[in-house]
Amino acid sequence: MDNFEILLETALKEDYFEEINSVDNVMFNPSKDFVNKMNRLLGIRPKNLIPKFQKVAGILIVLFGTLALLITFNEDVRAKVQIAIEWFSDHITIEWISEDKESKEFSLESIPDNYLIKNSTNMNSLLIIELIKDDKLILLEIISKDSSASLGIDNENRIIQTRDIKNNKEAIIGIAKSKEYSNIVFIEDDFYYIAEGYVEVDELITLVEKIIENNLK
Amino acid sequence: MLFLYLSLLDDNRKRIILEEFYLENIDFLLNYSKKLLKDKYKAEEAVHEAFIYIIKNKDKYIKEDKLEMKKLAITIVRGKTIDLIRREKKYINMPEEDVEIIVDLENLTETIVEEKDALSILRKHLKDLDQLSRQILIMKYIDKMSVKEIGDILNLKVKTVETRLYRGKQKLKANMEKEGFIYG
Repeated sequence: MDNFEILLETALKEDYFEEINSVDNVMFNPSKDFVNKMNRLLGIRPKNLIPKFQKVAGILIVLFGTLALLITFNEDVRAKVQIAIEWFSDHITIEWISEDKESKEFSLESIPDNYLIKNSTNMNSLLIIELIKDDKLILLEIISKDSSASLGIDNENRIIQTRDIKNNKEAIIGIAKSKEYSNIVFIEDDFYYIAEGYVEVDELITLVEKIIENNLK
Repeated sequence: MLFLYLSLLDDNRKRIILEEFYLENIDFLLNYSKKLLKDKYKAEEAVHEAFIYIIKNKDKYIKEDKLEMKKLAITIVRGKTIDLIRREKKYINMPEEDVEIIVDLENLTETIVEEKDALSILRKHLKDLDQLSRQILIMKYIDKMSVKEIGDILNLKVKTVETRLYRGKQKLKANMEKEGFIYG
């Protein structure tokens, strides 16, 4: 580095650190949409779920403890458990799914009319597409079945229902209880589809159905 | 609320580091981006994009050293913020080389610089430089990033980064020359 570059590095550092130090370190109070998006991205469970899980875990420990005591000290219970175990060993088999199965990659062939793609992020097992229709944002997530995805449902702010849709399929829908919350649709096909937005549930279902149809063509 | 837990980060240690980093620094990163953008929701978008970029390049940017990670994350957030402004200004369709003053942001600090030495004078001229060129210089000289890495973060071609780097330095050198400081 010549003299100018050394001077430039020093000047940049002083200037940059001054800029950083001028930023207020106060609570930002981000929007709910941002918090949800980041929680999904980082796999963070919402804080209010943790005490509920602790409560459930406590109840399960007491139940299993009681059951263990009964099995140990009560002959009748032990005999019934023995019968249940024998029945399960006769009727249940475990099959291992081959790990050699081919991984499928989603390619978005086209989107329905009147929708515009605002942004899309492909993370191999997850494709996030932000769609705009009539100035309303719809978040569509297409998740590969190879990824480890699980779905938890809480009925605090949404009414959870199922609805029959095309091709004898069933959609899990979350209808917002107030305008503050968005509607959500979950559909399983060759991929998992989650659509979320401040539009009617039927519109979300139709959107996912059309994307599935277009993808098959 | 419907909640999806998706294991995007297969390396659990890295996921924990990133989660801790997010919880500790998110307010600062959002405030920083908002200070540049003057818009809460755009700041959120820029920070979200920065985290996606960090996850995509997790081996490079998720580090045990919290300070080092914070330093890099701040640069990435700044880069994504500048990139967002560039895209919103609709300069995206113009040849990148032709856009001289692409991001016309006001400077965050208004330090009165005493013009008594070369460093102070250079700092004064740095403040007059457009934000995109300044961002490239920060990434190159402070974070020691390669031109390819800079281009990835700012969505620019390698050639554009090289051109802006060269032009930015030449402009600063020329301004210094006017003040009586000659560099080879």
